[in-house]
Amino acid sequence: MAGIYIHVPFCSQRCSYCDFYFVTTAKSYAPYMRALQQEIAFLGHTYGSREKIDTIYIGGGTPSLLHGDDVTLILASLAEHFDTSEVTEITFELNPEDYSDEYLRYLKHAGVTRLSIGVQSFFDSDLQFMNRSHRSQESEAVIIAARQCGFDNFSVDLIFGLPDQPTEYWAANLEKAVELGVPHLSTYGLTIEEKTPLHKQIQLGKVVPVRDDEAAELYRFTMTYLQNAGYDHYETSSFSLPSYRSRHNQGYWHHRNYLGFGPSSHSFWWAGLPARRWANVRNLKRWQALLEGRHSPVELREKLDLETLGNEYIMLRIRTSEGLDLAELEHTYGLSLYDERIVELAWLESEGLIRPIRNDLVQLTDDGKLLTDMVTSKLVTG
Amino acid sequence: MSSYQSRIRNFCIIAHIDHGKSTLADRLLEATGTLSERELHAQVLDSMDLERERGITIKSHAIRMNYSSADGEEYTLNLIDTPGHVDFSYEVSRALNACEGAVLVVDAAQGIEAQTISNLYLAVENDLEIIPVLNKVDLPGARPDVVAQSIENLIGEKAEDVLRISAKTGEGVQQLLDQIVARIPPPSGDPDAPLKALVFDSVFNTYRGAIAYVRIFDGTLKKGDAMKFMSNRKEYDAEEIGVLRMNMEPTKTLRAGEVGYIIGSVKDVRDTRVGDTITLIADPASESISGFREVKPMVFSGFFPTSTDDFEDLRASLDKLQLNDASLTYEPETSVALGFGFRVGFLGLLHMEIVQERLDREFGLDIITTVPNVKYEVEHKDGSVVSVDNPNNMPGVGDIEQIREPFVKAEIITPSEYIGGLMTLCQERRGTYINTTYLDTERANLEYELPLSEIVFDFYDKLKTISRGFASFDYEFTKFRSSDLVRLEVMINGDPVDALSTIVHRDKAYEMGRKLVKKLKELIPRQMFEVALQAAIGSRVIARETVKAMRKDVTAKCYGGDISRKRKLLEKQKEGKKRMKQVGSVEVPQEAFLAVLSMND
Ligand SMILES: Nc1nc2c(ncn2[C@@H]2O[C@H](COP(=O)(O)OP(=O)(O)OP(=O)(O)O)[C@@H](O)[C@H]2O)c(=O)[nH]1
Ligand code: SF4
Ligand SMILES: [Mg+2]
Repeated sequence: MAGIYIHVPFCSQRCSYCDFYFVTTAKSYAPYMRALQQEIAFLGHTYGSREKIDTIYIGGGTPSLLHGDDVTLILASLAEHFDTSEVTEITFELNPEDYSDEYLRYLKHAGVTRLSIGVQSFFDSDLQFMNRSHRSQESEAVIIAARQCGFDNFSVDLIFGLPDQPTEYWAANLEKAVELGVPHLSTYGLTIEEKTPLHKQIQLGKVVPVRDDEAAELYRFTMTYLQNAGYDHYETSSFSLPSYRSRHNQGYWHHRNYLGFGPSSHSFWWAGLPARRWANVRNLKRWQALLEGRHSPVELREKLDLETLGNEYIMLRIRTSEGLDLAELEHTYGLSLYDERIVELAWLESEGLIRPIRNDLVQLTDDGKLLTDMVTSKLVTG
Repeated sequence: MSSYQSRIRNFCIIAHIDHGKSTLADRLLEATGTLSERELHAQVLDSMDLERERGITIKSHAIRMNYSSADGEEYTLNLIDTPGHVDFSYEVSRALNACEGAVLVVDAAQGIEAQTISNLYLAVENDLEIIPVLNKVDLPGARPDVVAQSIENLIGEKAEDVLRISAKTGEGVQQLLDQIVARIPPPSGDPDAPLKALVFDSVFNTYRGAIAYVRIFDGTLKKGDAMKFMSNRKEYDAEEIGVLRMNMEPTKTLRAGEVGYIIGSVKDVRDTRVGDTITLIADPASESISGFREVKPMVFSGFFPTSTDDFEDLRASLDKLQLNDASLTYEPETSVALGFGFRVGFLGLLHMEIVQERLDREFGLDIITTVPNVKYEVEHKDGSVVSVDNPNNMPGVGDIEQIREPFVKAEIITPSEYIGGLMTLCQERRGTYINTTYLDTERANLEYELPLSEIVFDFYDKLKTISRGFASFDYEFTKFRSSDLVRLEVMINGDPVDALSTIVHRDKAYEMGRKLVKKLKELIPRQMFEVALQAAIGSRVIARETVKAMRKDVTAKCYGGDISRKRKLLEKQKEGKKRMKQVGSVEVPQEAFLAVLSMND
């Protein structure tokens, strides 16, 4: 079973921290929709009959800028070229400012089963700092409305570690989410990506990023708070109430095949070695032009051998609560960390970064979660 | 003089760096038809990759040309192109030994520079006929009249007689050839006397072994002759002899006055020593040609293989490099932080950089170098004297009566408007003013005595910055003099790091210590624990910084399935890890061992 990701590269304005690919100047979405259908037909031709589709994720950018009809069209087009008969999850990213009861009902009707809501914070001052285009009232309202329209399954994004954000704000954000009964939370530590307005502000000395010990405290607080509130910390940035995990995202961590559509989207396909990853051009016009000219819009291609896949597996699985399965790593990827990394494993355990290994599972402790990347770099081979 | 000798001219081309020696050599090769148009490309004699990439000459190159002069005679011209950079001036002095004349090239736009003067003096010392030429007269910025006048002031050649040429367009090159024939004396020497062949250079070739470049002063060498090196009495057969065209061209004999090469049945390549005299076993010469002044390395640095397994490879590679580069010295060194390596001596920082780069490219060796230092003379309380080229071998403070450091006499040639700035620079570097003279109305020659240690690092860059690129400088060792020097040590989490200790003047120790730990703080990545960095003189800590413990290291999200990006980050990190050295429990990146050099960035 494979996943499908659709990238909708439109936003109404640029959030200061964001380095996703999108444009803010599109006058019409029609050329995008045409090219997207073209791409769906293309890939459907090659992959449509190979695997059934399990999950669909429509992200961005801001998919909620699309008209409801376009959403229906995308899903219909996928159904035409792929076997979507057994799809169990269709996620749709929604920005709070775009919601209306009507739009929500339309999405529901179109088949969307899960919403991912870009709340980021329940405080206006935070939203302004990030240059988000919504207000805090809308954040709360959209959650209530979503539930009323029958969306029990939804996720809320929250960002911590904003420069100058008082600690109480972050605690209050979490409290609010819990109080609203949000079934799934994605909490991201603010990352300063190059070429973003935020990066620029920092370089100019206008904004001082939080120190990493402060960020560490916030992350630790988040873990404790949400675990106490009954959430399962099932991946580095993902918390869910029982049975509300994101199936689609879990696919990424389990080396499940997925196909990406739209500019800048990524795909992964492993059916015999080498496995392949590829990525589309990060440019809407070129992506459209290439598809119109019946050319491939792919600009990066990679072939992955078994060791590379094994290292990916380490890097991705260590982030999950189930942990890294050394037996699976050995039998599927031919990589034995008992042989190759026994000293490191012992050291990580003695430093309290991983739990004592049981049933071949390497699981991070809360201390270890703060240093996930460092732990990963100790374990990967090569 | 035998008749064949009257048709030989041996000369070299000397100049300040970049004044156009190698380009002029191109034109001469072209004008004499030595190379066809197809074979000729810019600076064709600069055959090493590194020379081509950097556009500079590092090694001298000898080549033989045939020239029919206006008088209808057929001449053999042996040309040696030399490097201009101060680090390689020993290459120039060796080339001069094989010649009767020198073409002194002066850039008509830049005028006389420091190495113009130092190379000129070398040629004068060797009693060579000097033909000055003004080059680059095609440049719009050329000032041939002014520069010709300063040449007259310097060597007495009448300004109006100085040849004006362009090595780019070829203008004046024909006249230069005629002057070479007319002015440079032919070699003398008796072809029937016992053989005296001076090894003025040697190269190592993987297929052929050691190749000696020789100038025959007396006698005749025939292919197959049994010969010996006069310094070590090692005996060999001259398996192949010949002359140096673009490629080696075997001949049956080499006679007095000629320049050529010898490939002997030399087993141990180290036996071919530059400066040595070769003679025949059957009819040996009674005394050797006075060789070269031994080149003494000026700066020393620890060279350690990144991977400890590469130690023997490093030794073998240094052995080979030394064959082409007699000025390179090395002996084994052990460092607690870096393991087994060598203390290597160089003529200057460019030389060091080039050796490091050649080890990397030609031998695939990844090297960590430590901060270069000069050689010190330490007098013990009991009066005995040792020389110390490694800060860690400095005797204990209690045993030292005094430390002496090398001083040089530096000549700085500069447009007069920068004199003030340059004097301030020399003052900061503990210099003592000697004298100023004027080369012409605009250019002055500033003389200073300076500690060598103060000029090896960034002096040249500073000089160029202050003078907007117009000043040049040259230096010459004078003597060791006592200075108030101390050893500055660095400790990482309490462990002294031998590879980081340096010797500095007491007045500069505090500032240096502070800057050093600050720079290290930037270079050492956060670890699981706090890392204390301290600089100390003896047991006294004079500066400290802390690298805070790493508290958070986690990528928030693998966006939209972009796994490649995260994996590549990880791979890069992994690559970086490989370049780390373990000091106690702290991982230290290689750059940190050169922190002193980048303190002012
Ligand atoms: N315009 C002009 N440029 C020249 C002339 N002669 C040399 N050049 C340029 O000057 C630069 C240096 O020339 P080289 O021949 O490499 O100088 P060099 O003296 O051999 O330099 P080193 O061996 O490094 O000391 C090159 O870019 C040449 O193209 C000339 O007559 N006219
Ligand atoms: S709405 Fe989302 S994709 Fe658009 S700029 Fe903001 S964070 Fe980026
Ligand atoms: Mg040159």
